[in-house]
Amino acid sequence: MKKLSNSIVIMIVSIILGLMLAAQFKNVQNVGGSVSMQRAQELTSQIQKLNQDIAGQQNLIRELEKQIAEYEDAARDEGKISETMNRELERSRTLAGLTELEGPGVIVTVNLIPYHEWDGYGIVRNVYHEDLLMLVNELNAAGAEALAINDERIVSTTEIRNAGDYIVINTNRHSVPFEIKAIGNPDTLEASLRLLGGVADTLGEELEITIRREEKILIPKYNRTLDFEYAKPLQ
Amino acid sequence: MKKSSQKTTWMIVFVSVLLGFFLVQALNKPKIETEIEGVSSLKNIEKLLKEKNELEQKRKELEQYINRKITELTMYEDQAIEANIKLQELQSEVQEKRLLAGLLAVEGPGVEIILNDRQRDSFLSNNPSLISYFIVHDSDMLHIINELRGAGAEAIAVNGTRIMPNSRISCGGPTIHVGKYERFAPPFIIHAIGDPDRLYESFQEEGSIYHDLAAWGLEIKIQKMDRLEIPRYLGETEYTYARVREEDE
Repeated sequence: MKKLSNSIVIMIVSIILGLMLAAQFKNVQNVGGSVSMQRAQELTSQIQKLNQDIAGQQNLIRELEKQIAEYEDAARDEGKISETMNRELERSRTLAGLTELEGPGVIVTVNLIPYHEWDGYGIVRNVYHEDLLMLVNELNAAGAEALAINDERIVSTTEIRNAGDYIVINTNRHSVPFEIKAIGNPDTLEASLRLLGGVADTLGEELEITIRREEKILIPKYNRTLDFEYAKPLQ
Repeated sequence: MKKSSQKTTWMIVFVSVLLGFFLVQALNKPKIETEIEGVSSLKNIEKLLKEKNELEQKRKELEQYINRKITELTMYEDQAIEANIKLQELQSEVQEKRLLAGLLAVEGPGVEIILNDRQRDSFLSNNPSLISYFIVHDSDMLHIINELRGAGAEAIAVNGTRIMPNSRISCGGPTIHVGKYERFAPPFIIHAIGDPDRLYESFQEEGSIYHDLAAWGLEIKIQKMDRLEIPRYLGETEYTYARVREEDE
């Protein structure tokens, strides 16, 4: 009797234990809920972190875009500067005689006047460098912007000198006929040469001078290297 | 027996209490979890996961955008440096051409020529009809400038006015026009920068205008100079008629 009741007690306890285990197991399953809570918290903090990252990225983007805009502005300014400097460069090159020019003006030719004496043949006189100097100066006085003699561009270092039967211009030898091209106002250029008692008149007595107006004259650039050895920019 | 059954009873009571406790716990807990938190947290997690994925996607996109912008910025920086170098090169080229064009004041060795009409003397007073031979003419100046150029003058000024290739030197009564606007009366001071010896000696050569002028008694003095200053050209630099040919630009 006592043995039986003991067995019943053990049985009951065992059942209770089983129930407890079952309950505990269920509990363990349900801990998933609290794990989810943790995950949710983790996710929330990750999202928070992501939002912070994104905010930081957006600040960086604003900064980058600002810098890019500044560079764009600067590039536009540099564009303007280089445009201005390029114009100045071309102006300087043009004034130095380093560009080919075209424009209206006059072409003056200077040639010999031949004459016959007895059976012989001769000329009234030769063309001297003074003649060319005078013509060039006259054209300059009439506002010539660019000049060339036999396609030798007249630049700041151009000399026109007699050398035997030749005339040396830009260290190259030239002989008759001489063709002087001048770009400028054709009316003024022609009128100043044709002035009564002017250069064309004076020279015309001994040389054959023709003056031709042209709408489009090409004047070549100086064909040698222009380089200064002694003259340095004043500091 | 009494003692033993009492003990068993206590045990049963104790276990029953425990059983009750755990039963309540076991039955209560899942109820709360599944009905309140369980369901909502599942939905919540889905929502959070979705949000997280979206944000991660956004962050990735922004990262790519930032990388593009950084590349762009680097490009701009490189360009700016390049443009700066190009501008510097351009500037030095402009200066070089300005020098050649007469648009810069220059200094250097050279010669100074002082040219004046013949001084009044008894010969001049007795021969007034010959006076034209004893004064400085524009052609004299032309010859002097031309000879200086022939001797390698790099920069020439007459009475402080820079001579350009198209400067006019013309006679206007007792004065001489030099350049476009300037008019000068003698004495003329001509400065030329170049090799002083070569410039000086060119006037010693036979056929130089120097001998002509000296023979007529005009005052012509040539002096070598260690250092001269010649101003830049100060006139018009814009051409009205001449245009640069397209091919040349």
